[in-house]
Amino acid sequence: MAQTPAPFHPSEAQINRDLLGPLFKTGPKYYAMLALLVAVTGMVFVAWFFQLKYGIGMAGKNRPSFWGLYITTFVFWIGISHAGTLISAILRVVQAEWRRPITRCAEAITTFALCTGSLFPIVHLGRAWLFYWMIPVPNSRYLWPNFQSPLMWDFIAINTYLTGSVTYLYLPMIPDMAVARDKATGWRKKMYRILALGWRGTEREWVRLEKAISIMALIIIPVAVSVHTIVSWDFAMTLMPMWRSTIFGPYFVVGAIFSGIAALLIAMVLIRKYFKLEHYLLPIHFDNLAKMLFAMSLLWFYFTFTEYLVTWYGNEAPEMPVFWSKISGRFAPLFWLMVVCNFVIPFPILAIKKLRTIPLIFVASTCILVGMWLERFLIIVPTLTHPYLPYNYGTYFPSLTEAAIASGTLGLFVLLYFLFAKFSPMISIWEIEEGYTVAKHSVESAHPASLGSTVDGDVHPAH
Amino acid sequence: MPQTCLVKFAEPTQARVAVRRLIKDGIDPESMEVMSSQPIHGERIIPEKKPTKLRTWALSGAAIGLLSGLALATITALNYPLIKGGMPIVAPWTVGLITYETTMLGAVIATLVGLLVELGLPNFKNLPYDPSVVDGGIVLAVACPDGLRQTVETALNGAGATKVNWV
Amino acid sequence: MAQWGMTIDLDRCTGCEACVVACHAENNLPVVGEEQAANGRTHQWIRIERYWEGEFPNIRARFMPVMCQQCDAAPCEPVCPVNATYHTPEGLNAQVYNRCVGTRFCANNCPYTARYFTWFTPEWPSPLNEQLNPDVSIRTSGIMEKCTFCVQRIRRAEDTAKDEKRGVRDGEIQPACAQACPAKVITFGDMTDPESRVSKLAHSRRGYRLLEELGTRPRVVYLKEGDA
Repeated sequence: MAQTPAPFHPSEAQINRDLLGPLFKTGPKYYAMLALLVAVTGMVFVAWFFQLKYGIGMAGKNRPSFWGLYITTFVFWIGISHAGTLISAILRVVQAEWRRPITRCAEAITTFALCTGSLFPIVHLGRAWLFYWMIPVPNSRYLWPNFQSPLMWDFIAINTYLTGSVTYLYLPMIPDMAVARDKATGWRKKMYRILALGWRGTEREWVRLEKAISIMALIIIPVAVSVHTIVSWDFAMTLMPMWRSTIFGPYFVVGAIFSGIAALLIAMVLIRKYFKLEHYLLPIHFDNLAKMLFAMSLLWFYFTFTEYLVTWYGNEAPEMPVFWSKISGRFAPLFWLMVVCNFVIPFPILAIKKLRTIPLIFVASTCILVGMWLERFLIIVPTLTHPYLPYNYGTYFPSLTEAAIASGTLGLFVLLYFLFAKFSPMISIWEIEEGYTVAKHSVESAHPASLGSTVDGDVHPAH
Repeated sequence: MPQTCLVKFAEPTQARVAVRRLIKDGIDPESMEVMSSQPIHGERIIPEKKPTKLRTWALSGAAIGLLSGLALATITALNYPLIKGGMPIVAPWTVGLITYETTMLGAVIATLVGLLVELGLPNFKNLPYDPSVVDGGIVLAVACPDGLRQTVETALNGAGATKVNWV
Repeated sequence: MAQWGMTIDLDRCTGCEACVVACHAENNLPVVGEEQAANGRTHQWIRIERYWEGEFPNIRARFMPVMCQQCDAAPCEPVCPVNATYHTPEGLNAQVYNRCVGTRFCANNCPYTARYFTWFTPEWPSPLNEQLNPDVSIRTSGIMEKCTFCVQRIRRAEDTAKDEKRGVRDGEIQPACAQACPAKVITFGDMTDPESRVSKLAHSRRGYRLLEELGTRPRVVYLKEGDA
């Protein structure tokens, strides 16, 4: 049972010190981790070099399993990208005050997950050096890409989402860049000066910035929903058994938000511990997000159950081999591991208040990430290995190159996040300060004594 | 030569009082600026003549995006008509999808550009600024012509200003 | 304009795979080797699907030559992001090798699994390189390919006919598989010509199309075993 901590009312100067501290001080542990991440990321590019040199055959894909680990991991990363911006935007739109320490971590996850995920449509190509043919410009014979293809929808949607989330990450960062500029020295000061764009914090600037952020929040929510729906349509637009399902759109969005919140919780736990932000990322934040995660776990289970029930009940000849291979066949161990990771383990941890502690939430979130990766894998490979004509059934096993690239992108993502954490405060300084002011005013206006003590009758209730 | 004074207040209410006095004493609101480390809630401290037009920016960007998306999906298909899968050359579903995404993209870019244009950022000129504002408090900057310096000082001192810096 | 189609008489097929070998030779197909074939990367534009029926001693083997069905509503065509596959006016599903970037989406969407991907750059160690067909381009690694109804032979026949100022005669075009088959299983020709052998066979009561219920409208008509 945690003791109620003493109330923490920091001054703005202290908030600035606490949240900017990690930017200006770096310890040996950081450098050690950085070296490891660079090594893992290097592994990705080395493996990719060999794949480009010797041919895409270095990956373990075959006929009929033409897609494998790369597309699995692609969908996984795009899914994780849904946490940040969606959660941050939704919480902002409903004006939930507890969003304040979370928004920056979340938005950063989105941006870097998108960057990492966008690598895969290039990596998995047979002729990756020609990837630019998918860019919407005509070639020398005035041939444009094919906009009827779900992959082109992917291209447009993911780029829109990337632009939107970079903007949504950067806009609230501007005032924090100004704080960093005012506190930094040397080369850092020059860098933050440029990034702060000359921000001074005038009233005009704040009004417009907040308006821009709220417009962005309203735009980014439908974009996020559409992006993963479109990614799901890479599968749902085909004729393949157990892919041709109308449930895929919402199923993938729910799964994305699910894995995204789990990733966000893991990031928050690590940031809280290593940047010593125990006073800002409070147990209540983890508790609230854990409750959202629980809701998503139930939703995920609901969608999965529906999908499999309908398939089983329909008993269609092409679909049943896929179904049984997952429930009791070759993929059964992975399938049931997925169910355990996504539902059985998180359910008690997230449902029972006593178990909803930060360490156990970390465990649940890690299980969920493993489970969600498995879910993507189990959507792709069993269907592909059981096509319509049974003579063409196959098997799939990832090759070393493939596994190296796919697993190495975890290192790439964490590396990008790591570098970002040294360059921008991971908790939005001005939003925290605003939060304390709002809290103070709401306490004051709720107190009857304050109604009499005004200056020129100027007290307004909290915004 | 107009000079600018920077005054630091502890609370927004004090700044409001000061601004009201200055306006009453005839100082033009356009020559005043209020700076803070966080957005100030409640009524505007300095009334603004031209409200923000960001929503217009966003909507125009969306409109441009919409038209671009329509053009992209239809004209490129008609340019090199290939029959694919027995589907029509221009299918409303796919055109609609692409158009939706480009509309959103247009709105996003227009919002960002609109914000930067309206604020005049990036702006690295030495505009009046007090770096200590990031640690709390409100800074009021008044650019006043020569003769009114005394008026300004009186108004500010009356509002409870602790220190008036002239730059 | 001719609309090419094919019938395959399953009553006659013995599963000898002469068609497979002929297709390999005609279309410069790579020989993937034992190891890659065991990894599931066989490369056979036409393949004989063999199904066993019944229990010993009443076992039957059923053979079915399957190649790209050149579907009129081909699911592989709309999903290519770079327009590397489309439907020609003569009804063939064209694969444009030099445009393909290798996303492999088309292969995923083909219900007949009739598309093949070149995983490694093919090699023809000397003197095998001397038996390559000059009418057919060599595909490097990372490109999708499939049966083309021997479009090079179709083009050649059409060009010859045009030079001689006549139409293409029925039976003049024979894809490599049809030419090699000892049992005359495969018949190829213009489906719109009511006098052609192929259209007469296609209207046989034994005729059916593979996975017809999916609505892909394939151009290959299979003739069931047994009497009409």
